[in-house]
Amino acid sequence: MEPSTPILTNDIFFYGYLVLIFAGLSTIIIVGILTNRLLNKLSYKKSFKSQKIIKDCLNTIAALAPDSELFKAEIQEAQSILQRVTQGSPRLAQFVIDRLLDLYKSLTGKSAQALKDVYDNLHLYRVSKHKLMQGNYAIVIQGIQELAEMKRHEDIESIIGFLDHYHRLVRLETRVALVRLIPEDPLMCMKFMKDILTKWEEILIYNKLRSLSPEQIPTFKAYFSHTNSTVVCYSINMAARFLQYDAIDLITRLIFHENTAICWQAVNALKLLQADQAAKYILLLLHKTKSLKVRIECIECLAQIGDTQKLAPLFRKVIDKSKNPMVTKTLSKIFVDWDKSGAKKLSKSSFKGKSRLMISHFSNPLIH
Amino acid sequence: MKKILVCDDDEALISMIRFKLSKDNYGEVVKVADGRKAMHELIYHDYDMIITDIHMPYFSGLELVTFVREKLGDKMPIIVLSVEGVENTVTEAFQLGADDFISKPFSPNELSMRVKRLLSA
Repeated sequence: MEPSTPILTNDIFFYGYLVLIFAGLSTIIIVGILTNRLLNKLSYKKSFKSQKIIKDCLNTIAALAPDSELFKAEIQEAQSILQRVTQGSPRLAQFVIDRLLDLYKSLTGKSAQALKDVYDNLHLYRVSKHKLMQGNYAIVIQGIQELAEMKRHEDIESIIGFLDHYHRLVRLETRVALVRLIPEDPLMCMKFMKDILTKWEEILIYNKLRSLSPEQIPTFKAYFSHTNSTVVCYSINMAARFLQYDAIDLITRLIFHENTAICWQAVNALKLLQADQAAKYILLLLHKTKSLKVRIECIECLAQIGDTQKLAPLFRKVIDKSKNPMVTKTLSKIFVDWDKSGAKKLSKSSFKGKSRLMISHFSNPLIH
Repeated sequence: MKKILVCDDDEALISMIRFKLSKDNYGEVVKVADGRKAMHELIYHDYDMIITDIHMPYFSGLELVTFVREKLGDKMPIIVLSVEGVENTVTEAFQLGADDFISKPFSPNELSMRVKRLLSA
């Protein structure tokens, strides 16, 4: 009796099966990986080819559009190829949109119009509008930007709803889009402003305002009573930049505003508007205010619009009171620049301590 | 056959410019995406004209103009592309030796006309 032989045979079969199973599985996995790589490569090649076709078509449309009568057939063919290539492929549709945006911002005239026509005729705006319905705020922003860049005035209604979006960046992007889409009323977005007006928005609005004719420039004083202090500051600044002298009375009232930023902006505006009728109120503010920044602005403003002789004692008071050496230095420098003869007299007069030293130092012609 | 170098980091735009200039039979158009590649091209190859953007990676359009005029001592025509509202930069480009300037956005035909004028001058 030899019991070990069948066990050994069973073991060989068992291990043989195991090896076969592993070999089979490995082959399947390797074939799977290779097939996947091949499919990816083919898909990449196809996508690369499609992208090249899209690039060529858009180049044809943009470059030949100014002579559209001459190259009508070529342009139409390019448009129909684009339609065919992008149909049913959201990825390629997005590629066309990205490429269109890149070209559209650098071109003008018939070329720009032809690119916009592609965006409209291929219904690519639907891709952008679809993004507005997504939950991810970054995708919503992308959609808003695309519609604004491609000047889709028809979709203002869809964009305007995002002024109340929970995400700050979406609200910001919406306001920027509205400024771009409604250039004749750049202040429109300020009516709904709940956030701090960013420098970027300020520049954008200012640039749009500059492109308007003088009679189109809005009256900024309508925004002086806005609940958002950054809007009030900006509108005061704009009233001064666009020389709206009829706003001087209201701006003069705003110098006593409880918000220091508004107060400073109002004084600065009076300086820009050379509102000498406001000098006595600014003097009053100079005595009243506790803000050093506002005081400095008051002095700068008075130096431009006020009576220099009458203001000398005030300077002394501010310089002596200030504990901040930078403020003292700045004020002394402003004063000396403003009236050098006055400074000379003052250096010999009753100034004491810090202010006397400062004034004599800044009166030295070598440092000018 | 003329050879034109187009330098801009906006791939879509330089691709369109190359297409337009080739279509208008101005000769061979080579595109590069930054100032460093442009300088490399200019050192090793001969060109009849440069169209360059002002803002580019590594070396700006202004540095490229200086390089061509001072280091290479070449008098080939240079057209500078830039965005609107940069008067100081444009003035600087002319002082450095640029021959023409086009502000973005522009029409491809306008660029083509300027290239034609400078190449035939």
